[in-house]
Amino acid sequence: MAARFWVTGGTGNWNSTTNWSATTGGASGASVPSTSDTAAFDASSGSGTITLDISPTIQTLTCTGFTGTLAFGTNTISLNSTGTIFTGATTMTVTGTPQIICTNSSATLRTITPTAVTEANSISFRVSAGTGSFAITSSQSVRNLDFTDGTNPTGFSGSFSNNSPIIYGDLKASTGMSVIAGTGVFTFAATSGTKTITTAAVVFDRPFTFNGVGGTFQLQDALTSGATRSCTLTNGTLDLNGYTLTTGQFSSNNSNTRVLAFGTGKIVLTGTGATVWSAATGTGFTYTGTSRIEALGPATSGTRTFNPSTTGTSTEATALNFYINGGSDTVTFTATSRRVNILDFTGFTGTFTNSSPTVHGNYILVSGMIVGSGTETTTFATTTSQTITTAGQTLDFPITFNGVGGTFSCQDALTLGSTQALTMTNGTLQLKSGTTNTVGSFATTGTNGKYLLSTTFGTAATISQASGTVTVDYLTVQDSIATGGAVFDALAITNVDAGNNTGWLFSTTPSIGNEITMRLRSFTQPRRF
Amino acid sequence: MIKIDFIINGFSDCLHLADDHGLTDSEIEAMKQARYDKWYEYVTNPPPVVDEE
Repeated sequence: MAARFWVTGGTGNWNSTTNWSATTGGASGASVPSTSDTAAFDASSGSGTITLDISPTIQTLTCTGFTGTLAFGTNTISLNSTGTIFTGATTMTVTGTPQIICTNSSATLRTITPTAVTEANSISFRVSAGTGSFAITSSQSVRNLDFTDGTNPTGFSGSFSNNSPIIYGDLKASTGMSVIAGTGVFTFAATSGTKTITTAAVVFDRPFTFNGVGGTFQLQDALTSGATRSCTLTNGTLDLNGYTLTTGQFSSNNSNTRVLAFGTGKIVLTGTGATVWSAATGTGFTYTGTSRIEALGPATSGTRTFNPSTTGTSTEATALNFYINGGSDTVTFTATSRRVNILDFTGFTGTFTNSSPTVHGNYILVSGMIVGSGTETTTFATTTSQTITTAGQTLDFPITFNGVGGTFSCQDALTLGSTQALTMTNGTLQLKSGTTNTVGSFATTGTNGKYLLSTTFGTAATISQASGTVTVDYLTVQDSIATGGAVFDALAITNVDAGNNTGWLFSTTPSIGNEITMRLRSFTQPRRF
Repeated sequence: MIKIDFIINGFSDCLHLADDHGLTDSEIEAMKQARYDKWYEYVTNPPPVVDEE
């Protein structure tokens, strides 16, 4: 094995004996490095441009201290040795399509030290063979990181070490390789274009961070990480591309521009005893496709915390669908005003503690779970339509219906705790026809019109309050039986008796405004679901 | 390279096969099921956490 050093100090072709020396800064004229040689560019190599006029195979490549340019064009450099096979430099520049192929097929450790080069000066690495470990020195950057032979999904069949690479390009795993579990973070940092991630069914039990302003990171198959790992979206677009992303926790808690592109894909959260969803700051966040976040949480104890966006930093349009479909532990939403779309507990058998979510989509409780009591208010706030399924559970906390133009359709009897208030502020509440719905107290707020109906026109639903006086305003009532002991005072002229009501006290002499409202009702009958 | 998307019980994944893979349809179906089974086992019975340095 011979060492070769670039010494011309000026522009030249790789495949020229005038450019190479046997010693650093020595006389030129040495042979061009070949398969048994090492090549080095260093501080004595000048700042010229080395043009790859061939695709050489050498043992190792070292660029420490080099301030020139390595012009790849469409050629590649193959490194066939083991140990530290490549050392880069932040002072050098690369052009063309820079790619280094790591071809050694032994079981010996190989390490590359590309340094923390910029995106523009990053080099792609393809590890086409080998059965040992392959490592990238932590916090150092590459462009593409490809573990295949370039044609087939096979190639490298060793293990990728627990380091923290920064990847500006694509990541492609090979079938048969493994990724060592650990805390070394895979950071994807491209700032333009679409970069792809192919896992080839390899479990990446590692944290992932997507942090490239303007970059898109697109799955090419399912991405599976471990239950203790976090997937973080800091900047850019994470495109699930219809596939399943499995991670312990998901975090996107900042104000940067970032997009979760679900398509038909989903995120599966397997974390337990932790904050599994952390995205309180909704500023800058949007999603596309149909959001679906499933929380399997196969735990029997501990608490899983969900911290979706606050109502102050998000909108109904950015609220996500959560399916808490596993576990018998405790699930809680961070206390104040978190926004969700669908909240579905089908499959959950644990305890859902009282919190104050604003729910825009379907709300589904199940009989096998425990619904905690408290004073935090759950707000139903669709501006379109949503269903509410309580499965016989008592909601021992206040609830509010507040969605302008929204319809809240109960799929079964609604039962609140004996001290809990049901407040209507906006929208249409459809109680399940033929059921008795029990509240601690019933109230209306605000001066917008709101509607209390049953789910089936002409078939009443019963609302029951044990005592006191229910005084409502700006409420149109239809197909409602009021009972239970309380006085249901709808005497204010802002209320409308739209028919088939029992137990309500309406003004016997409707105002003109009231009559007009009643006539208009025939044209504006809310849809029933 | 050939991509074959599939969904099993809500798990959405993709097989990447060589152009000349030579696999039969039943073998491909078995690969899909194996991918799902591996994922399901991993998420429902996660292995102990071992962080290697």
